[in-house]
Amino acid sequence: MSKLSAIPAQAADPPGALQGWYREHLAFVFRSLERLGVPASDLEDLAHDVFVVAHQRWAAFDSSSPVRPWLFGIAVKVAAGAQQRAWRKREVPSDTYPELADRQPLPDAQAEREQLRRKLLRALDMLDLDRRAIFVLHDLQGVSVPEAAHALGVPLNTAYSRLRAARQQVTEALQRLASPGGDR
Amino acid sequence: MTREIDEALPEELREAIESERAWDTLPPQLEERLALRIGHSLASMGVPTPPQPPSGPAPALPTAPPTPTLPAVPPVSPLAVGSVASAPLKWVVICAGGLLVGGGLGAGTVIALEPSAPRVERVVRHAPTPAVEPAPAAPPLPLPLSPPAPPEVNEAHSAAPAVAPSSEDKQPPSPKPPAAARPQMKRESPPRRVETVPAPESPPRSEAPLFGRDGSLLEAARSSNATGRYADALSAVTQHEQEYPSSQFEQEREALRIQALVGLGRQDEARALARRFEQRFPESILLEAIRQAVGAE
Repeated sequence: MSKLSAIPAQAADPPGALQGWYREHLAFVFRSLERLGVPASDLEDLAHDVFVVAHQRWAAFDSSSPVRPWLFGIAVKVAAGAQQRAWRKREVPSDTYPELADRQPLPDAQAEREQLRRKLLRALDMLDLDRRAIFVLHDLQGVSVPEAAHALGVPLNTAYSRLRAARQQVTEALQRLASPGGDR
Repeated sequence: MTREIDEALPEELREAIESERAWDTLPPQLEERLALRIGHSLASMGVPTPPQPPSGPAPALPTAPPTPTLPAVPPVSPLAVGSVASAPLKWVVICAGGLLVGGGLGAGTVIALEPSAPRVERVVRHAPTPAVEPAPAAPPLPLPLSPPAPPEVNEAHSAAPAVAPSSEDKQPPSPKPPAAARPQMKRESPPRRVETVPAPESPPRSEAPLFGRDGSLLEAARSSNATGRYADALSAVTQHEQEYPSSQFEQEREALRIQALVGLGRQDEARALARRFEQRFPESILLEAIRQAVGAE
């Protein structure tokens, strides 16, 4: 999170400043959405939306806090909105991570990495969004629990207990997926 | 990254987490494409962005950290506008997404090909093919580069992707960037077309096409395809071919052409072109999307 320190200085600037530095958060936001369960086909659209919303809400951003957790909070809402619509309109996509499956043959090592990755993402699918959010933000995105709790707007204790529950659930899911027949 | 992993975490979980953290970056093309798109959208949202943000660490739009890694295949499938197009047009989605990738690729290409050029920023109107004057043969297009949407006039813009951007709302943001990209064909979305006042101080600022008319013609074709206006797409592509016979976006152009032909039901032509494309650009990242486009029908 080395770049974070540079951000608050910009925070007082008008939203236009966002145009300059959103770049360094692209990967963060994109991966966050992905880990929050946004289907691959929607990732770019929703990442785009996160920045648009951030841009619109810039005035509400507390510039004394780091920007990434804040962006993550927006990402959670954006992802939740998309998920609701998906539930309303169509079934949840059965293959959430097609991009990992459909690609041309990969070198073994990379294939293995992607396999591992898909497994984790599938395990994350077992979580509800609240637990998933704290797990992703802390365990995967490396934001401290207090900061994450703040960004997600939950009490610290709640954050910890959700994180604990999430870890347990993910671990179980990983074990299930590892067992023969557990994954496709 | 201050990442505290509990020592007590089960081994499997630990491993999975650590492995997943290796995916913290994005493929350069994807990142570039996304950055351009967001840049376009933010720029069109009516924010007074000074051409040179005084304190901004990075210049405004397309400060492309050189990403010349063209051949790299992004690990994310090019389904950028997946949720946009409606279900029946699956291949459209695929193709459009592929072309977005193409756009990213193109971006890389521009940068790679013109390392000495003063960067792609806002002024590259003639950069790709300086010899060809923009739009000599496009009478209906009064302004090869339409004026950027004036900052204040676009409630429509900012309203659309607002707090709850729905997948259905996706359409606006993506075709929007190329606002300047509607060449000779009239786009059918009058509400958001606000070309009243060209921003006086910094005309090329917000929505000036990043790659000049060259790229914006193709962007117009792409958005036409994405909205099912295949004839428009085809004419944009043809126009592009006339103006830029040897464009660096040739692959993208051909892919768009094929997509439009399929949309118009001209399967045979599309297949023939697809075969030719395959021969000419066997390594193209767009090939897969093209195959699907012609094969899916």
